[in-house]
Amino acid sequence: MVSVGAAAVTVGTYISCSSFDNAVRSIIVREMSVFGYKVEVKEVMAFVAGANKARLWESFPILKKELLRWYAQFEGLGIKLPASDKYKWAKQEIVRQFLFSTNFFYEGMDVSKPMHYLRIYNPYDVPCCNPFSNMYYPG
Amino acid sequence: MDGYDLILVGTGFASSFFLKKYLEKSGKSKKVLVLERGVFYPHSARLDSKRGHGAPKFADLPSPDDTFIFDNRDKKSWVFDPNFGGSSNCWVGCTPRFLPNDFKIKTLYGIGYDWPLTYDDIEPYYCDAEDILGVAGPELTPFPKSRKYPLPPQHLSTVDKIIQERYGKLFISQPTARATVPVGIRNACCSSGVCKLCPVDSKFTIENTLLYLYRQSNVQIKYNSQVHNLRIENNQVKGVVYRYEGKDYEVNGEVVALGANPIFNSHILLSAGDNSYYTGRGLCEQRGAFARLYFEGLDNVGGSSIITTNGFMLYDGVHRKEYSACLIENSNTVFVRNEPGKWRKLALMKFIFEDIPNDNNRVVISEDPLKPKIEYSGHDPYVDRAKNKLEDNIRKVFSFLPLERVEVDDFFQKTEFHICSTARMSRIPSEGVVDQNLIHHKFRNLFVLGSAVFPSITPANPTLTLSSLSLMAADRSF
Repeated sequence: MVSVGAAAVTVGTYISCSSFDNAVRSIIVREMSVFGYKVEVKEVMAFVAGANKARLWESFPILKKELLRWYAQFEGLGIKLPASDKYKWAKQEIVRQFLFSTNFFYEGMDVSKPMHYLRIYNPYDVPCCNPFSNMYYPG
Repeated sequence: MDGYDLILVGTGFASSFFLKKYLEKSGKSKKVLVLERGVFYPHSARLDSKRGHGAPKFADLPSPDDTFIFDNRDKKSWVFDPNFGGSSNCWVGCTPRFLPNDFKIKTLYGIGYDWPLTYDDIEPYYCDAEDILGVAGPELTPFPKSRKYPLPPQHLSTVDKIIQERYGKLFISQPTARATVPVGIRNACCSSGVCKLCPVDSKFTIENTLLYLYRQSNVQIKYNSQVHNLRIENNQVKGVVYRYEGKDYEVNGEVVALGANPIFNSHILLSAGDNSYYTGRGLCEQRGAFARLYFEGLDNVGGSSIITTNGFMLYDGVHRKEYSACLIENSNTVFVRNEPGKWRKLALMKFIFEDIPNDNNRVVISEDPLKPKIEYSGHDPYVDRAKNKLEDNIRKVFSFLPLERVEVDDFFQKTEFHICSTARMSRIPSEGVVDQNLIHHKFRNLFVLGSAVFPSITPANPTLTLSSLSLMAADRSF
């Protein structure tokens, strides 16, 4: 009983201390791995650092950040959690930010090519770059 | 004290369209004073800020949330831009017209309130407003039009084309003030997806199209000047009271036009002692929710701009007796489905529901003469009934598409950025605050402009309609 309680406290402490940055990193690494992208962890770390410098996550509501931070710890454990769709959508945002900050779209979304972090995607620095718009799919 | 022929409060859509028509009709002999509570924060400086090198003088501008008192901010936001050009600085540029039936929903469906004017009354002014805004739109529309849109329509995506083939004029390229070709000093939209502040200055703003109005020799504009009261004698408005650098000033005017947003227009009226039952009441806006439609073997690509289309399939009909009309927007932001080969086998659609103005949701005066207080208890159950049917309706409406799955977000967005009502329009004084020409029922030299006057709000974006009303009010009155 004591050991179960201690383990629970340890897990709880780990999760509550685990940072949002860790969640972002683990989400990207996991998603990239699941879908077979070629990306090294150092590229993900560079993105995380760049995102912090650019204050990228300041626009994320606190609840969304907390959802990501907590759920990222449980993902892969096979536990069905409530609001899993919201977690999935939030993950999509994280991954989208990452993909747009790499050479991925410049390489024509070719997953066989190694991904490199370039700079944090900012439409005010690089406008007109929706890769799915009529500019890239004319007619 | 100085005297003016017209004192205009605010510089957003409502004020600027009114001023344009007023100057056309009255000529240069009339003296106009414009009182703007904020500053001139130019587009170029806003862009600088987004690129990380904004000028310090704009760093401490008040947030909209700091301009009023609201005890319940977590549940609901009221968003606007309290500076020159008003919400033209933060709008997305969507300009669908209202449908003819929107003006008579009480008669047709027994809910809400009829407008004291018809679609035919406003139609010529819709045309004029669309010309001024430089609206891009299609030939076929679900609302009648007597004039073509001035700019060619936005491009449809591959998914849009399939849906349009099924629904025709109920699913159209979104009428929008995001230019499809260069117009004036505006560039063509290139789908950057951040319309709140357009990186290429494509969407219409007061700054990029109507700034010249405020530079005419007979028009004087004062910034940092918040009107918070009116001076009234014998049911005539004699002038306004405004706060500038901590001190109150009074100025006289023959005619006064309130073009602040519905929160501040009604606050000024209440501060001036307007005792109409409806003044301040009915505060509302639409409620929006997103859904994701995942496709099997169908890419959603090739559309232009941030929103490609408007769908009217869930908008008008007898269902409005039971639940809200809903306008559909198909998004074209830079979202991706994170699965190789399925990047864009996904549509992100927004479903926007009309609310019914509720008298208990209202603006009241507070102890601070500059800050209205908002009492808001939530939207009408009419909206929830529509939301509860949304997933079923999506499956019905889009059943012909190769849907893999549908995911509906169960939360409403905090805001649709469309504050409405609080000084509703009516034929008789006992049923509203202003008449069909936007003139106050009691104070006959006072105009109340903007979406404050909407008796019912529809699910469609309000800017085109409120701009058209301003043109109509000035055209009929001067």
